[in-house]
Amino acid sequence: MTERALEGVKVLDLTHHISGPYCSKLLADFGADVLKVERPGGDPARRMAPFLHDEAGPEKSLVFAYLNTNKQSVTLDLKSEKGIQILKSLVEQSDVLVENFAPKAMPSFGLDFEALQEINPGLVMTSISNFGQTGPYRDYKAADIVEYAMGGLLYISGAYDREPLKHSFNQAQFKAGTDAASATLMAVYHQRLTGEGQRVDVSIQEAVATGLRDVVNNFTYSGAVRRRQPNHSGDLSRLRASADGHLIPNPGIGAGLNWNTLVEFLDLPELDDEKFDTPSARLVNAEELGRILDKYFIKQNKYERFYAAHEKRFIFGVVQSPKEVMADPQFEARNYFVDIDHPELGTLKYPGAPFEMSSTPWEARTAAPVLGQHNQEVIGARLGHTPDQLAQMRAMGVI
Amino acid sequence: MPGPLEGVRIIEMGQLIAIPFAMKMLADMGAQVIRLESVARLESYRSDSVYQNDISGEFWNKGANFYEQNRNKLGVTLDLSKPEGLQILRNLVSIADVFSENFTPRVIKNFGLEYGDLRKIKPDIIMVSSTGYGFYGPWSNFGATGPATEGAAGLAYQTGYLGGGPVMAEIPYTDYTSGEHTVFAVMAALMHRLRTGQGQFVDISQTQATSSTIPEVLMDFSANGRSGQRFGNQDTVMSPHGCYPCRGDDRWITIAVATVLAAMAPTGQVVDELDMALVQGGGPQRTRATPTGAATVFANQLAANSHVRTPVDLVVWPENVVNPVPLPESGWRHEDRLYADDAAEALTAEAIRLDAVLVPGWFHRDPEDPTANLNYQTAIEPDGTVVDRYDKVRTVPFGEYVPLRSLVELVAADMLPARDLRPGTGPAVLDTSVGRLGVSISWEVFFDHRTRDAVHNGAEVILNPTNGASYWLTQVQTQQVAASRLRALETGRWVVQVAPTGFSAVVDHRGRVLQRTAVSEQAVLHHRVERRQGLTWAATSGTWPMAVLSLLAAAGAWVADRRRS
Repeated sequence: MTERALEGVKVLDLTHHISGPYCSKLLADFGADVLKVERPGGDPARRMAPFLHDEAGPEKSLVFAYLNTNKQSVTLDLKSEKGIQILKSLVEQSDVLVENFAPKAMPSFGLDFEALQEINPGLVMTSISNFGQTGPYRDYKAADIVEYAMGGLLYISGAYDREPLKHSFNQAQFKAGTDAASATLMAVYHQRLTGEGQRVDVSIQEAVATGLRDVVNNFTYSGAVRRRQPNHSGDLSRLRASADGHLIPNPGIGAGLNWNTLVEFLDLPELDDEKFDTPSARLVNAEELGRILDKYFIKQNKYERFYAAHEKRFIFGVVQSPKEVMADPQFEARNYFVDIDHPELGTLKYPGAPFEMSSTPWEARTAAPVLGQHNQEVIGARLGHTPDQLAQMRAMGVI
Repeated sequence: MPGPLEGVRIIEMGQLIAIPFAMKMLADMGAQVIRLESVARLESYRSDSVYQNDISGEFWNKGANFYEQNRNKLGVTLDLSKPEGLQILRNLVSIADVFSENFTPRVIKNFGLEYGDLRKIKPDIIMVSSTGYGFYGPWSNFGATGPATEGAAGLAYQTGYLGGGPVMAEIPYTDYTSGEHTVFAVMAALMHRLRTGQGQFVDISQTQATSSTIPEVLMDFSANGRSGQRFGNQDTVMSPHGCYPCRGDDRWITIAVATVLAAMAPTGQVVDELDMALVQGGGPQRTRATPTGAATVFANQLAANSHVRTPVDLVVWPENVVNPVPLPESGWRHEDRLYADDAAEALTAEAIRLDAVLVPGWFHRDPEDPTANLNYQTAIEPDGTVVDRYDKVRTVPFGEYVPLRSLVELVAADMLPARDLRPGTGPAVLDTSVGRLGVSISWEVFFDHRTRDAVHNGAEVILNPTNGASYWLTQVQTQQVAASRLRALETGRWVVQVAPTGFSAVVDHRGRVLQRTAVSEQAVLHHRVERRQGLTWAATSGTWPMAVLSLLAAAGAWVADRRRS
């Protein structure tokens, strides 16, 4: 058996959708025991597209399958007395409880931090919510685009003269999930040293606002409001179209750049001109420079230029389509995409280790659980309920 | 109050953002971070956003971004090119828990600072390297910026305005994404060390960390072979979903509306794909047979058709762009007119040339009944044979036929069409070698029962050939696109709209506009379109649930109103 970084960390996972499940996925993928508690109808992410062959079904959501690897699943109705009773006995056996309900939900179940701490004083309770557990926005609903806007990232994304443009999909949720996983481990680390549990309060809005680079600093330093930037066609770090897609022909950091080497590399003698040979000259003649570069790159093959540039230590980048990402030789050399076999989805390639650890590697031990797969094992065997009692709970909708 | 990481000592040999940002997060939580800087080479982040842009004096001590990102840290300068400098670094490592850096592996190897080297100094050291593409592998020594890894990871490809190229974040976004994962990695390694007393090497690929946050597209490609689309701020389920202008300069509001049932509703499934070309002949608005001339309209279409890229499975033309007149009895043909045999010959030749099914829209007088017009689409196979034809069933009152003609003619004879259109009676499909195609010609797309008829007759994709050239401005064309989106959502089918002077558009089964032309331009939209099967709730039940709900809502409002008074 491989050694696992988070061996022995027991996580009770009450999360749903994306941010919470990504947090507990990171914990599970690096060895924590994660028990996912779903409402009897299942995590709503089970109904989230895309599905295998577009056929909707509780075990067919591809994003759910990705987000819930290495976890166990039990179902529990937290609005029933029996459900709460079972949950409390699970809390006794856990180091961590993670949840991403609306802030008012856990107290309404009688499961606020104080109540849980009475059951288990060493418990780390991690809560992920749209705007945090306190403050005037705490009960507001939000979608990823709203978090982008409220966190300050949307305003600086997109074209200068158009509406702000969001990254596709659910980046804010993933940011918050990652931060929550880190914060949870910090609290567990502290708990292992002192025996004390604590509450971790992750706001998705704050997770977004934490990575804004100069937006806040410029405002506090000089009162300047960073806006989406006009497109300087001569900007060397800009993305350009190639014959087969797009590339980022960024030669490198300004000060270290030797213009002649770049001109030689591109084999564009027209750039060997004092109009372009200093950063300030390039700024003055940006339009013309941009036209020459655009005209040149549109005829190039992006990978050919990418590899050739790195021979010269120009730090060019390529824009890869999903297909190209999955055929990427670097990913392949690092075995990033891994085969995972799932009872309903079959064997598919999944994105694997977000990073590598030499002694305690990322591993896919089990595929995402089917709904309530571990009811018998956990609620039955571990908590001592008979098959009859389980059947009764099922009939009453408790599990 | 001490932070949770009180007592953890980290040596940071970081530059710019990825590692310094991650170490800031750890420092904020109580770790002691000792940051190393070169005496020979100024960390370029120090000259970033300098206070009041004043670069006189010690500007390197006035960088806003540098200070925000390196708070809570200790700073040490070293010259690693000198043996004494390296020795101080080794001494620091010998009393550290974590050593972190974000240089290329080449640099680290040159200094002899790989994990194997450090372990000899401090056996339980945790070493963290953050690189663009990972510490080993063919790209390991490739330097990278945030935009480069955003491109490599697959995130940039997905992001962009509708119909536009990829768009990058204006900050080195992936530095933060990978930095967040770095914090987690350090904590996982610290947890392991706490339990076992062992250190290890952590290899952060900024690209890998970022790819791990876009399963929506990577899993879709992995399972369904589907490459993503750029569609602005639109969402896969929520609608409306976007960023809308408010009063004032550069003021915006985001709106996202989720429907609880939407996530549960079946949308059918993909059975196959078609490479489609939608051909928009172009010309100023009002370019149509009357008054511009049928020959011009047809020539525009042929000219646009010459830009269709092959291989292609299906080429769709708009409604009412093949308008032949009866052959003259004299035998003399007018140049500005179009004759059925010439048109048919040209269309056959195009189908054969492109090796594709071609679906053109015809409009002419009924040869068997001179008092009636016909409006239909035909399907021409790649071998030139016409295999099917669909005649418009739902015709436009006052545009294509006149209800109560004898009465209305008394008051508005000049403004009315001279002949009524003879409506078709067949199912709303064309049977072709590339599948059964649903057809809703123009006005018909405003009626849900037409597309429902198509779907119940086995249509796997819906064509909406329309015209709209007689309108000015773009209200009607915009409504057409909206109607196409509605029909797509209802039926779980892709809807492609084709108009001679715009808008032509590709709408997927979730109602997202993936491509759209502008008015008047000559254009060909190429798109790989899904053929889909299965029935949505709307296709199964029609409009009655909505009618019942509306009645209930009205009744509820009436009751509430009475109670209040």
